[in-house]
Amino acid sequence: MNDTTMNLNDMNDTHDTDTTNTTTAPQDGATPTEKTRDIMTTTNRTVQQTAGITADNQTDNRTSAGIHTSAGSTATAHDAGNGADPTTIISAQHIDKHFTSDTGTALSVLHDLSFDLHEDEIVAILGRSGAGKSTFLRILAGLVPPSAGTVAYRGTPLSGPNPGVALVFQTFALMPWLTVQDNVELGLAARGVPRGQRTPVALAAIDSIGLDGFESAYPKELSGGMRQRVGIARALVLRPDALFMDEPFSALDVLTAENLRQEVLKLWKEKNRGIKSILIVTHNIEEAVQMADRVVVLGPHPGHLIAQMPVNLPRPRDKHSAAFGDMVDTLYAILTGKSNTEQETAGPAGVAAGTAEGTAATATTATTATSASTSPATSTSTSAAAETRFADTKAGAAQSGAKGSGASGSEATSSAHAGTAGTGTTDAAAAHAGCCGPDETVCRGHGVPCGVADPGLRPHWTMKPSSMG
Amino acid sequence: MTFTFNRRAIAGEGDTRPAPLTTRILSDCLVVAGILAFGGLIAYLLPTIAAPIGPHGVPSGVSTDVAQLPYYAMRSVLRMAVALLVSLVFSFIYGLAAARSRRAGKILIPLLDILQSVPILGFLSISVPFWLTLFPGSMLGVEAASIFAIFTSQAWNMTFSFYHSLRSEPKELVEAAKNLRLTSWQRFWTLDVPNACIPLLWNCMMSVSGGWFFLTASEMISVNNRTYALPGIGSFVAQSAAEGRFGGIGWAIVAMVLVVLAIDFLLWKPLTAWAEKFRITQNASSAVSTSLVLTIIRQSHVDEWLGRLLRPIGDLLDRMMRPFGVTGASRPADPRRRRAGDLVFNVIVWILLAAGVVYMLVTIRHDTGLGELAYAFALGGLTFLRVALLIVLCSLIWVPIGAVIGMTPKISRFAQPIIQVLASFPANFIFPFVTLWFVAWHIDIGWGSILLMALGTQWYILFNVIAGASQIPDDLREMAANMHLSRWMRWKTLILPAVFSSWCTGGITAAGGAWNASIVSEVVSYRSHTLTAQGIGSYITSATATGDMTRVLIGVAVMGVLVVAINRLFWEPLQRLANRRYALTV
Repeated sequence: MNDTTMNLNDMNDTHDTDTTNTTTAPQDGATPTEKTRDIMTTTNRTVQQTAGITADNQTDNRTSAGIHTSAGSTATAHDAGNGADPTTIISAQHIDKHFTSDTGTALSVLHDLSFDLHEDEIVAILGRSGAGKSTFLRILAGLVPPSAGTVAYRGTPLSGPNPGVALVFQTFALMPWLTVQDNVELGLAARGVPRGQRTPVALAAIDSIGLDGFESAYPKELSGGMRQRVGIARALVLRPDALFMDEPFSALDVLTAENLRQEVLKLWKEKNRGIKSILIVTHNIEEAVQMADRVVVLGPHPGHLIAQMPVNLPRPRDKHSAAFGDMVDTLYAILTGKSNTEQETAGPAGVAAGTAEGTAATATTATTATSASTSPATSTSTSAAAETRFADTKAGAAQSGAKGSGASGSEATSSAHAGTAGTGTTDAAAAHAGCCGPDETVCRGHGVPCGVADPGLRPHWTMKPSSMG
Repeated sequence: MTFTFNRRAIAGEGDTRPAPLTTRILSDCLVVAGILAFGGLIAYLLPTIAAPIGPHGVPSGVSTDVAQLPYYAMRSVLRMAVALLVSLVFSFIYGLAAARSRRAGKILIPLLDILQSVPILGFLSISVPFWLTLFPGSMLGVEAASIFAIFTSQAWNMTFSFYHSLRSEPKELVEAAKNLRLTSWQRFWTLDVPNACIPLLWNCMMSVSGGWFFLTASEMISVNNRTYALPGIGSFVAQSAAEGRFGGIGWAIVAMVLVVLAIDFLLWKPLTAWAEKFRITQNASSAVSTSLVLTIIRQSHVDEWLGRLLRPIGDLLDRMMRPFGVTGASRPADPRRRRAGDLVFNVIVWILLAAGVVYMLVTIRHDTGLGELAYAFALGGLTFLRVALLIVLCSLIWVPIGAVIGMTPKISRFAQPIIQVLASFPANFIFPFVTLWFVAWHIDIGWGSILLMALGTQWYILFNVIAGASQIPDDLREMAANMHLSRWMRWKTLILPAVFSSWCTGGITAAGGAWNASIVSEVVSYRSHTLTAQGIGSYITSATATGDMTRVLIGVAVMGVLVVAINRLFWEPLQRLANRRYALTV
């Protein structure tokens, strides 16, 4: 079931009236659309990947996503600092991780990831399964040593579990043989807090997360949502600098997950919240947009940074607002546009979307879904430590690509399928000339449906994917 | 969100709502009476254990007066309990060392394999002089030797179980423990022990059964041309058999059955019911095992008293153990230095090992000649054939029966306790009867010893297959029914593959047990009849009795080599296959 079809956030949104967390928003006065347009900067070594959806009406429904990628470093408002920045909680530099399989072959999981976590921000790490999100989170938490690169907490390199991090697990990871209260007290006991002092703290945390009356219950007697509440309470009592959440809501049903998201946001809003930042790993785009101030998108095989995107929407966020939808769509495009095997999920979505909107989503130019790893022309777009700017697609910053006239991105991507470099054509048929014969339905070697809208770049407002994979 | 408000959750551990006060006070009385009785028994037994050795030295026999049986039984139980506690502590320390230190594990685990394959007499003949000199002039020396012997028949499988639990801890719980920065001590008691609890408990039960099996050998210690007898039910049986008193053996069997039932009722049942809380499941378990004793204890106030008494001690220990450090705090060193360290370590280990082997060969050559080694290997081959035949026969009989029992909860509920008692019962108590039967029917002991070994070890296969069959997911069984699989198809495609892994576990244990049991199964005697089968077991037994240390060494070494080789070449590939292809866990 698709989250977005359900009017879930009405249930809790009544509490969330004021807009908080303005510290991370560079331009407070601007509307989301303006903001995103403003911060789209010109960078060196840009590959612009564009797409146009040709519908009945080519001008209005045309959609394009402009993603500027550069090999340079950071540029967001709070991302400019280096390790000396006092607001930097955790700093990871050039993280590599590879595992050696039983047969002796090395499997690369993460490649050259750099990332800083600052105070007063919620960051979402977004990626599909296998992108190494959870591994990266564990490296930041000091649970898994990186194969190369360094992680520092408050300037001190880690040599063990990160002392400033409390982790919330997808599968809760509660000790099944301890009561709720004992589970919550465990971290305090580890820090040597005497029994008399830790009990009231734990009880207060249990109350605050809505588990009053369940102190002496065992986890197996609780529902999934309540178990995750215990997991959150266990993390909160430690008042960590950073609260790490590893797909915290994906083992819960849709309604419970939404409830808990709102609870976490409510806790975040409190002045005396005790935690300075939240890092949440998710494969759910909407969840990322709903919760985060900044979304970090990881691409798979091996996990690498493909985009960072600030989310400057005012809180509480309305899932049905246009800006929210834009953000989700753009992230969707980023996620799908850079990976190889997308058409089976997104291709039909594009078609379905087209009919739903009464528009024929047909040919597009950019076939970025497959070209990223096959075409040398686009290889720069996946360069390590890429910093990607978000451009509002409606704003037309990259509309030129729709016509396929002269945009560098279209040149690069279409050439991948044409089989001849640098043709500059953006016509769909021509783009796949090298691999799409008259009877072909799928572009061989690229896996892109011939004559079908590119999966990664769907028309606007036709369908919002709630989650990936 | 649906709130499944659970009254039990508020009431605490109890299965029902809090009992009325009168019931609780009654339970208090029962618990207090139980504690007093227990304390009284200990106080009654303890002084006699350290009695001085009389003018005639350590007695070589015990009284066969039936009236002494209750006292003997209690002495035996106390011995078993002490040995079990020692085994438990040993398992904790050894298992932790093997699991936490990569290099220590490389030595400790193969060593455990070897220790497991050494028969109890091998340990006894080496250690008895040591214990006797440690406690001169006191029966405590013999007692310690006996307890050590029982320990060597109990400890190894418990250690293996604990080690495997440590190695297979749920990943996210380990990460939680590290992320919460638990101290090593806290991790041990909040993660390691609870996670290992259920398998360890089952292995404790198996160990106690194994201990009973070797009770006669450990209480009537026959080494170096001498026999040291301790008061106990095992020595009572041995004495009665030697004197040909059938009545006495019969009474001993009755006493033994009562002891097994009492231990089951007072110890194992409550412990298994209590250990249910350590089961890692996502939902409350379907079949809750109950125990009257545990219910009474839970109804009483004793856990509150104990909590109040022990909590400060626990907190103090918690503080004292802080210097042991935080779990996961140390990262593996630089890989290059690590490899270099490994190399040095391996070289040293191999040199020591080679030196030991050379020294042993020189000793053997000097004392008996190397031909003796070849002879022992031939005997080992004979025993191997017996063990192999035993495993095949037991598997053919017990796998189908065990699978049916495991898949049918109704039969399982009814059969499980009976099988448990049968398995706990020391089979060698009936060896005198079997011997008589062999003599009367002129059954060759070469074949008969297979039966004797099977009496002790078949249960491992049965137990494991029952456990494996009961874990076949309902989904798969419903699928089989839904597809209208024929009976044969169902066995071939579902049941046998599903129990294969458990059968492997049972088979390796049973085979190991059978090797060890050969020392008491290949030589049996009843009054004047002594039947001796050719085999490595009888070889070790006779060498121990005459105090021929070189031959004991040869026998133990040959048995160790054979058992480890068979495990490595046969069982381990099977287990790997089971894990790879036939594991039911997703």
